[in-house]
Amino acid sequence: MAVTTEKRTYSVDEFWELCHQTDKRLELIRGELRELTPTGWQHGVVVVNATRLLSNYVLTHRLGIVLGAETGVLLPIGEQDEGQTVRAADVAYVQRERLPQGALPARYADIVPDLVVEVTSPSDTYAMVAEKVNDWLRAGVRMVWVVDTSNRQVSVHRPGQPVRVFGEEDVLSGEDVLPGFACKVSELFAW
Amino acid sequence: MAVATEKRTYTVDEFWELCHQTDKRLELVRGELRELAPANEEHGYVTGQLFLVVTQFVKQRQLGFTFAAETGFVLSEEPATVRAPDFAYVSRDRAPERWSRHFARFVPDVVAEVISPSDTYGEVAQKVQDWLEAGVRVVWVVDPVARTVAVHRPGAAVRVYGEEDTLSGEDVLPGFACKVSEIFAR
Repeated sequence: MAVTTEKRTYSVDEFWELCHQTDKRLELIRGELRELTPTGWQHGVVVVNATRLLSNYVLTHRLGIVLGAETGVLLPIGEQDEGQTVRAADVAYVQRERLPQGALPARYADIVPDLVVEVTSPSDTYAMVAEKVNDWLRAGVRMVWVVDTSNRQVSVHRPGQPVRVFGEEDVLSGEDVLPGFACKVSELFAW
Repeated sequence: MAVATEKRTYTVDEFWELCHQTDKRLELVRGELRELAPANEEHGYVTGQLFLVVTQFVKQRQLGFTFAAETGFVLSEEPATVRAPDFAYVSRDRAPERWSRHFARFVPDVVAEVISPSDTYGEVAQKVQDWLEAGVRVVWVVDPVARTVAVHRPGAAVRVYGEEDTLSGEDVLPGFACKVSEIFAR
């Protein structure tokens, strides 16, 4: 497995401690650390647009919560002798029914979002993005939107369905994951 | 659905006819035409290297057959999807008795796609998903810029191998192993 920053593996608890001793933004992928770099401005704008559009809709209809970038999700996808995985989506929506009663988790939670949005950076390779999407889907995420800032397209991934690609003039729908939600792809890039 | 060259849809037979009336390299994705640009120099070289390494192994052991880039495979009739991978391998068990002079209608065991700089994430992701849905057992996505191979298998985690890693044939091509750097080496 390539593109790791260090060779030793970490448990989720060790990872939590480590994250509080460093300024680095990290993910834990099958026990190994991955470093995340600060993103470019295009990425930043798209993340906020997606967060705002989804959050407005979800709050208005009281459907659940929208998680901001860098929220750690513990993914239930480890094979037997494999390390654990904590990923941070750019935006995630979790429907009310999946949330715990009472307070939200203070740490990383093993609550799998219903919708995940990943915004690509110019430095992202195909493999980096494919790995993320595959992890989210195997963990049980019902829909993943990959927003490609370089060509202003959104790829929609759903388990067992062909990948669909939408251009700027197309409408992105919440389908049965976020019923009633719709926005033009171009709205994600607006400023 | 975006990135189509034309709005009308085609059946596999209509697409076959069209391919013989044009010089364009085309794929058919859920009835819609996609135009393929001629590959760049590096893409052509890497595709050749991969073909050579796997073909040598397969021939020696008489495991099956390998296919060069641009061979059209029918992935589905309705909606009609005909894709041309950069490389394909089919084992003896899954291969037809004799070769047709039409698009291939069997499902390869291994498919490789070599990424071009103009390929978007969405295009590559669509291809990989289509191959896996059709029953391909392993898809290798070769990235000449990152010098990695991403290994996709149905229901399994994507694994990414760098230049110092070894690409294995796993249970699909038992015994096959090559260093990733070998695919990119001159």
